[in-house]
Amino acid sequence: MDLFCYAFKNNKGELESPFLEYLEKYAIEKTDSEEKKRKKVKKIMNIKAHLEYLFTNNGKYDLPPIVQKYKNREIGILKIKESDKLIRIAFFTKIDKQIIFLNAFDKPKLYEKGKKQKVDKMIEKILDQVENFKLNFLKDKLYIPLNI
Amino acid sequence: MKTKKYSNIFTEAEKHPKAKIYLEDAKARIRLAEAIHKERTYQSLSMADLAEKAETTPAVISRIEHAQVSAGIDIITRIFLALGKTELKLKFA
Repeated sequence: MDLFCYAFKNNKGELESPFLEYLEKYAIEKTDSEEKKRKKVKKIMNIKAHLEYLFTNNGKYDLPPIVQKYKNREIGILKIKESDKLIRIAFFTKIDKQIIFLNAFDKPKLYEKGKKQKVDKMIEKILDQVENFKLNFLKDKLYIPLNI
Repeated sequence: MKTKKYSNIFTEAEKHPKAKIYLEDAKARIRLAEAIHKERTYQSLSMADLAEKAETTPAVISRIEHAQVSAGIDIITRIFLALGKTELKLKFA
């Protein structure tokens, strides 16, 4: 299996990936303190371990409780729990032998007021992306390889 | 088509001296989570059932099954004994 990230053409004409955009917040900056770097590394390695777990299981949609199928759709949800208050959610799908990460976001475990609607809207947007993406995946080559 | 520039966060993080340890720790948590979840569901036990048998709380079982925390050997032993297991086989690599 190969890992890819869904991408779209942004208004600058570049390929942009929501999943890679999400990961950028963990990018180590030169200005980060040693402690901040260490914390970021720990989080990144936790994400990597989860991605590898999915990879070694051939992108199965059903590996509870870490991977679950989203309703009856061809979409998997990879859950990376950070604490009791935070779960990182990564949406992925499979096309042939490719696992494609669509998007990711942080979901507060205990929904704060108004956040649930925001999360639900995001999920619906992702589902629309998937439908369009699957139709145009091969034709438009809208993807970026993910190297872990 | 040109691709927007992204950092390779994984490659960068791997340069850190503790990266390998953190990765192995996370993988071990996932393997343990998988082993407990599989056995618990095979025995049709809820998290609350298992927690009661292992004299812990459902929240602790949930955290372990979500690979969220590093469980101590004491709690791991109690969980596996509660599942009727006297042996634990875990792959470390």
